[in-house]
Amino acid sequence: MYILAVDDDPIILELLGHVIQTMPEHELVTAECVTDALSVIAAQDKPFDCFLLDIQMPRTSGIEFTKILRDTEQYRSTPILMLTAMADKEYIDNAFEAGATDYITKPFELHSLQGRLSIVEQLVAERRKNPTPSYAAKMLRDMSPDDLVYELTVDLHQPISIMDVDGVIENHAMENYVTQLSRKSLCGSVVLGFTIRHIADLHECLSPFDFMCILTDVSEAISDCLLPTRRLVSYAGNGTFVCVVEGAAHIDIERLVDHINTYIHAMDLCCSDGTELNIRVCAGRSSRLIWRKGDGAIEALHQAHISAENTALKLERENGNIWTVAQSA
Amino acid sequence: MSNPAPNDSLAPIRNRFLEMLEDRQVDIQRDLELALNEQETAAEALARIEGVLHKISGTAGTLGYAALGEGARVAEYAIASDREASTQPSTALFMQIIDVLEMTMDITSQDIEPRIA
Repeated sequence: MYILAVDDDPIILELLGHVIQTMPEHELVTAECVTDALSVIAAQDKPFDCFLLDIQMPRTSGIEFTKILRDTEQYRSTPILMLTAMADKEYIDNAFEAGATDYITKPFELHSLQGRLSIVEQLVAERRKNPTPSYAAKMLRDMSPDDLVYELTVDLHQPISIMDVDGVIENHAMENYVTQLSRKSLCGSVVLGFTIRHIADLHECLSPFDFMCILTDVSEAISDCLLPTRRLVSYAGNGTFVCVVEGAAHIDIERLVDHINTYIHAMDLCCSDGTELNIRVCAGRSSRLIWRKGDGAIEALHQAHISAENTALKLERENGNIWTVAQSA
Repeated sequence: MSNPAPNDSLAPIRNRFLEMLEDRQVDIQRDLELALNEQETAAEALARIEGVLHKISGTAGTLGYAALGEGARVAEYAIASDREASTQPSTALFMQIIDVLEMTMDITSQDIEPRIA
């Protein structure tokens, strides 16, 4: 991988150089501030595959730099690992919200850093092999529906990256987020899943572009309706979103689902050809993340996913197979 | 400077860290005196100390000085916590910073050797 590390502490940059020297598959470029990093990026002939960013830097912080990178086409989904001596959940939440992929706590063990870079390398390799999610997101922004309707394919079960929605992060970033946070940091948080009802029907009858639009709009509705509570949302595939919500142990799920559905209804969602869509979500059971960490926290995300999908299946069985696209379709 | 073990590949970086630690020690001492003696600029002086402690806590552990890193982290958090609570810096806070200073002195004078993994 071609890596850019930005940290105002030269010792950190030297340590990174030392680690990467032992990994011939990587090449490291360093900068001591964001201004220098931007100059380095502008002067490069080939794009970087990964960024290692300190959070706390004078003038422009690593979090602000992450936002700058995410606003560029080239680095919209490039892995960004935050290097932080700050264990505060608030900094970590801000980093993930800005688009960070993962974070490494300083001081770091050299072997551990090597391991984390290898994981990122796998992610980069996978994306090169199968660029569909970011491809889909790019299409959404840049191309007209007529241009892409026959080109884009979206796998129903794939955790697609949804871009440019506040509070919505990539699914693997969500897994990193819950895996890395300490038990203490997670103890006030709950995990909760929402599934778009009749998602298989929607996937079957909508164009990939329209399907992506629905996912994006619903993610925005969920993220906005969870405010003002601190939240992170990711799309886990099969019409299901998993959310980590802070300080919501006694969340009124029924009321929240009503709020989200009202919000979605107010969006007047329709297909590219103008056909109205009646999109509704349902929620699974919430579970607290206290005592969960590492694999246990990932398991909690999977359980939230399954629980939301089970609710959707149950509602489908109870209400019959309602066609969600208006009869005018 | 430290006497590195023969297979200590981090020795060059550690030596640079120790050189910088001497400078950082001077910076902390100067700002600590300012914080203690000049109430008007105490907040700014403590913010500068916090920044230096932040850097020490980020690398000391990796280079074999885990106790220094932990002490710097605790003092850094104590400064941040006092600032957020808008309280006057306490004697306990100054003592924490002095503890870190003493550790940096012991390390730079080689009274404390690094723990090399």
